[in-house]
Parts: sequence; structure tokens; C-alpha cells
Amino acid sequence: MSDKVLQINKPSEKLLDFLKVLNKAKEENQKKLLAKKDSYFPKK
Amino acid sequence: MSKELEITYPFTTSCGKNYLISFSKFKCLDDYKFDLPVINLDLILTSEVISKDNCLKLADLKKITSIIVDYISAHDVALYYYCDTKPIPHKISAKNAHKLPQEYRWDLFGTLFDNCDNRGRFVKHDIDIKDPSNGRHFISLISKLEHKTHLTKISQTVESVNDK
Repeated sequence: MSDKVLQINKPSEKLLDFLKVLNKAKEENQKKLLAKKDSYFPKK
Repeated sequence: MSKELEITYPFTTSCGKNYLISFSKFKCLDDYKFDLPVINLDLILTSEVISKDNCLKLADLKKITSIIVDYISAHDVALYYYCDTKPIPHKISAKNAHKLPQEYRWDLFGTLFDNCDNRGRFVKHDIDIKDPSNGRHFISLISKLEHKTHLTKISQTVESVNDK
């Protein structure tokens, strides 16, 4: 169960930009991992 | 469990789909100088989806959740879980059909996590942001209970970014 729920109904531009930066970092991490996915699942 | 903060685990579901469970540092948050490193959790499907059948069974989800729980137990971190907005690749029950994909993932992960944390070892803060241009964002921040104060500071920073 959550100890705290923060509900933001009117996000500021600054918060949405902050989220975009985090999402961009996630996207880059995912791309990097997908590019080397075969190294994690060696073919039998 | 490795003590390395950045680590990726390969995981194959019971029906043979491959996923990567990745824990990576958010270097873009270094300037905030949080007392705990904020670790981004990614669950990445690396196999192609060729059928609408649910290839992620409850047993698979429980295993994935236990990997996440083991990671948080072994590290002094704040885990950041942002729910993906991509459509759910399999059929979901009528009970959940009205939910946004990210909301469905958020509820599912929350339930699985709570089931794994039956001893109350962790603290979880949820953040729900209504974005007029991109729908809703659902985020969970999780750490060990002993780091509750640090986790609260991170949540407060999100609030303060919104107030600016």
C-alpha cells in the first residue's frame, strides 16, 4: 500500500519538462539495452 | 544479489518471451544531490509480440516483482518506476478495460509489490500527474523503510518543481 499519494492535477510546464528529461533518459537506456539484447540471451 | 547499483537481469517467461529488468542511475538528477541515488527501473520486452495471448503469467509477474524486491532490499536507493503508456499487448479483463495502460500497470505493480512486502519493509510513494497534452503519468518511488525521510524529500522535490 502506498504511504503517500501525490496527485497533481495542474502540472506546471517546469514539471512536465522535468518528466520529459527523465523519460528521455529512460528511452536512451532502453535503446542501449535493446541494441545488445543478444548478449543477455545467448542462442542455445 | 550484486551490490552494483546499475545492473540488468535477463528474464524468460514461462512461455519463452524474453525481458530485461534494468536498474540504471538517473545521471540527470545528480544536480539535485539527493541523499539516495534515484534508480530507474525498466522492464523491456526484447522478444517480438506475435500473438495477443498473455505471455506474462501471474507466476512470471511474481518472479519479476521478487527480483525488484530483492534489489531494493540489497541497495540503499530510491527506485523510480514510471508506467509505460504503450498499449497492453494482451487482452485484459473487463474489470480493467476502462483503465489507461499506464494506470493498469500501476495498479498491477502496486498489488504485486504489496503482496511481496507483507512484512512492511519498504515505503512507497505514488505520484499521479494529469498532463493536459499527454494524458496521465503514473510513477512510484520505493525505498527501504529506513530511508522514508529521504524518499519524502524526493517526493517534496517533485512538488516543489511543480510549484515553480
